[in-house]
Amino acid sequence: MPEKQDHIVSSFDKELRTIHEIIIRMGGMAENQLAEAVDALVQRDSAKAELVRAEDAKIDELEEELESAVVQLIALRQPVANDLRAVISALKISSDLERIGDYAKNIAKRSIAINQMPPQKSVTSIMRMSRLVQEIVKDTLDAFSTSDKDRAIDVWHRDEEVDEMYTSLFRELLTYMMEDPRNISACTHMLFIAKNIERMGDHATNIAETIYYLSTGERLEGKRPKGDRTSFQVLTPDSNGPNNDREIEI
Amino acid sequence: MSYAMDMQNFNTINDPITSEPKIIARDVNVFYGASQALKSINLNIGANEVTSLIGPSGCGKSTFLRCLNRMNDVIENCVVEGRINLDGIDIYNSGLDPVLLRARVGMVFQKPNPFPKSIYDNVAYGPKLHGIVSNKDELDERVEKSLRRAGLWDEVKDRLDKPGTGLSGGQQQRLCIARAIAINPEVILMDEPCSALDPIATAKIEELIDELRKRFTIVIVTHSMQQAARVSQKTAFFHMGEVVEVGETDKLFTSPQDDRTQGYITGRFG
Repeated sequence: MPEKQDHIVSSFDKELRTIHEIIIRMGGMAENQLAEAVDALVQRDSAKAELVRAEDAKIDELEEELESAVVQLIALRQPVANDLRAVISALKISSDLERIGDYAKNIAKRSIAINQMPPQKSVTSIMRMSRLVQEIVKDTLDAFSTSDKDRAIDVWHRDEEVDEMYTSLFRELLTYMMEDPRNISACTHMLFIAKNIERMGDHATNIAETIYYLSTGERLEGKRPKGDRTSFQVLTPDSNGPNNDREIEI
Repeated sequence: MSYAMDMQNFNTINDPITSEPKIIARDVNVFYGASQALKSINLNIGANEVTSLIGPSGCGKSTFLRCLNRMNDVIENCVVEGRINLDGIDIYNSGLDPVLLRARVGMVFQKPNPFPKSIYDNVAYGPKLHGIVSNKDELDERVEKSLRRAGLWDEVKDRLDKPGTGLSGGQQQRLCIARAIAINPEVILMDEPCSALDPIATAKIEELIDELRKRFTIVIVTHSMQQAARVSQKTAFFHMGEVVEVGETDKLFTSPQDDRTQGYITGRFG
């Protein structure tokens, strides 16, 4: 949002800067919440998970603060052109960040449940996936702070990797569940955690699209490559061996 | 260049075609003595749509508006170069009578300027002068129709013999619009028609402009960017005697292409 030239009315610039700063703060917090939630899972640290749950309220508060700032600015300044795109984008991005925060909170809740069960092998894969999504969220925020459309496009494409990791984790977890029904409870929680992380990636993608619009005034054209194929997958206990699972097209 | 060739070529300038052009301006230069007020203006004014001209004071938008019905002819030292075609006829070089041109291209000014006559006579004056009507009944009908189209009939029908100057500012401006449309123009030029009016009167004029564009082609000069955004389909941004950018109004106000347009409409200079 930083502009080459300031507005004649300087308080307008101040209000736009405030909105920009709230987004940056929300982004930092959402990124941190994901890291902490996955740490709580990996380290089997329920106290940390509780902290993550409590911290989520702060992101929600920031979202409300941003909403009022945007409504007030639209009502009092009637922004147009890049100013209008900046405030509308901020509103959309804040709701994506708030959702990312919610998913982190849900991961924390589930990790408290998982901590009461034996350690899970799939934690390593979750960790890998979360690291990738953390990087994507961070790059998205960097793209936002510099209004860098090329970086936004780059992030937009990288979500495919997350989807692929999720598909592979889905199969891994189904296999553990088939191996031993006692795994089902923990693996189901792990599956939801994986899905949460995958959804965070989708929200980062939304943010990337918004950044592209913010900086160019145009929508990102074309269909995003999708790697999440779990909606079509059927894995049966009879199908031993890695290649025997089937995909049904719906 | 012929009109047909013009029609083929009119998209060669960077001006999106939103409807068939009623007026085509090419390479229009205007000088007041030694100083140049307009520099090579190219613009298409689409039929039955509202085109708004915006820009800081002294940018040439009113000068351009006044070229469209040769109002600049009366200004001493003013020289207009280039071509302005109305339905394919060059309004400067084809021997067209300026008085007849102004009957086809009417004008509404910043300050309402009713004649010091009755409301009825204000509207009846033009049709009588141009011999458009042949008897009193036709004249009555035309006055009523014009006042209705200007959204003023219900407010004045019981006092048509009262002076036009006794109306409120907004009513006076609608009376001037009724007077302009009474002689069946094709184009109406409006030079900041709402700048002397309160928000309610302004809203009524804006609603009227939207209604009028079904029958007329409208060009409006306005200092209010919100007004340009509200009433027009196309907007041209003038700066220092040039057209910096012209485009569909919704695009120009969300994603202007030129930094100067962006700077002006967002309040960064002007």
